[in-house]
Amino acid sequence: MTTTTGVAAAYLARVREELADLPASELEEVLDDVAGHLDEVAVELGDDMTSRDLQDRLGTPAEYAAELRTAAGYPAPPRIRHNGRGGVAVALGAISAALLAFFTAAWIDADLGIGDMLAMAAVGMVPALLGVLALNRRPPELVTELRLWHWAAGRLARVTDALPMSLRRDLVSVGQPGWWVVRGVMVATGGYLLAVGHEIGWEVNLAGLVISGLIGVVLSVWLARRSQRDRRWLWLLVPVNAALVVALISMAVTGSWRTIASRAEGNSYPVPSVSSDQPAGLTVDGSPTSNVFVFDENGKALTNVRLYDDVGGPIVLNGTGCSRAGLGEVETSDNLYPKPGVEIGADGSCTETVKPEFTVPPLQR
Amino acid sequence: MDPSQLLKGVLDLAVLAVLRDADGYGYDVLRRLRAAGLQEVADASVYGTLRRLFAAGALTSYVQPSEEGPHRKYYGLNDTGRDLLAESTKTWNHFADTMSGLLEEAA
Repeated sequence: MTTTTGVAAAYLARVREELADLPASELEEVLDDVAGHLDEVAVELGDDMTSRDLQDRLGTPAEYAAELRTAAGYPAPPRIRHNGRGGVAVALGAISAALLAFFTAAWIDADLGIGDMLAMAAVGMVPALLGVLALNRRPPELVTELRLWHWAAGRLARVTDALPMSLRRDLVSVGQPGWWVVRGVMVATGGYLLAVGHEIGWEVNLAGLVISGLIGVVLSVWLARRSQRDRRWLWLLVPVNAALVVALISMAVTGSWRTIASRAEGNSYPVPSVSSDQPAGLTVDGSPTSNVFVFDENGKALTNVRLYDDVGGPIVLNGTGCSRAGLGEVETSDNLYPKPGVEIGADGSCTETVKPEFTVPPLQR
Repeated sequence: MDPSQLLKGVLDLAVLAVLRDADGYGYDVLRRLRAAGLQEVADASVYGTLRRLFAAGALTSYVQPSEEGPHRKYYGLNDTGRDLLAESTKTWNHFADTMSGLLEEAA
């Protein structure tokens, strides 16, 4: 009986876990019967059977397994107090999540390299690994036995129960595969960009993004289907999901914080050019110009002038400047004029000069 | 009185009885029990009982292809099972008579 699929397969997998202490041969024999049972019930309940339907009919997988165990006269399951372990694991995992969120924000804000990212990721993962050790080779679903989990799940159930039945079904049947796709695209394209994206041109980049995205989606969906049958895959999927959610949240927070900060300071943060396949630039009478100098009517050179076009769009030009720490040259792309000249001192210090190499007489009226 | 509590003690006998005339796979056994009027029987307990009777040597088991799809595991009585059924039937009848007599006196 190997045709058991979907909801029934997930139910069967949970029953298998509950009976994992049985001798392997007896386990396979009894699960063969259970698979047949679930197939029959699945046929009766129809194609759109949900796990809720199955539980209403047979009880939870744990209840089903307990009933089976009693009737079959199997020995009682080995009792392990693992609530404490689950709590420790969750606490350590939360520390890891917080560290990784902080590191991600720092990494984005400081424009650090891939090496820094890997080092931060390694440090951030340490508490999570300790948490895994604390689980002592029990499955990650252990956390579902926590009181905190029950409380959160209860709260969530109260919200979802208020939704109409059809919407709830759609949320699961559309939302879950939707997340699989989003997850696959994010991991694959993100990984691709980090690995090669900064070294090659935009055209190759786009093709690579599409291809890696497609591969990511296929892999993600395959893993999801796999994990429904074999819960051990959760060891891979739970951390990946958690890391992605943390990354999404910290990117959103960092992004909005940056916008707020640059507005509050009132100066120009490097403004990304509008279309990335066209380098920012200014042309005067058809030929590119590398800088703009502004003088007032008395011939005084103005600095930190910001230029905008007729619809309020910044007139952006690429240039160079000193890093915020004053220790080296960085590329800039903003609408602040004139662009400074950069001098690197003998001690590596960086100074910007904005003095023009020419003078302009006062305006004659 | 909750019939499902009563059923726990005699489920072995009920399962043996529905297998007396014809072999059956798990869901078959469950259907026969329900058809006989035992609505309260819990699905999983029937499958567990089949495994226990098999482990006790009262049942044989064999896999048979089905027309509609997957193979099905059938259970059937062997000689040990028939002996057990006969013996259990005697015990039950004695018990039932005793209970009936007790309840008649009380009534």
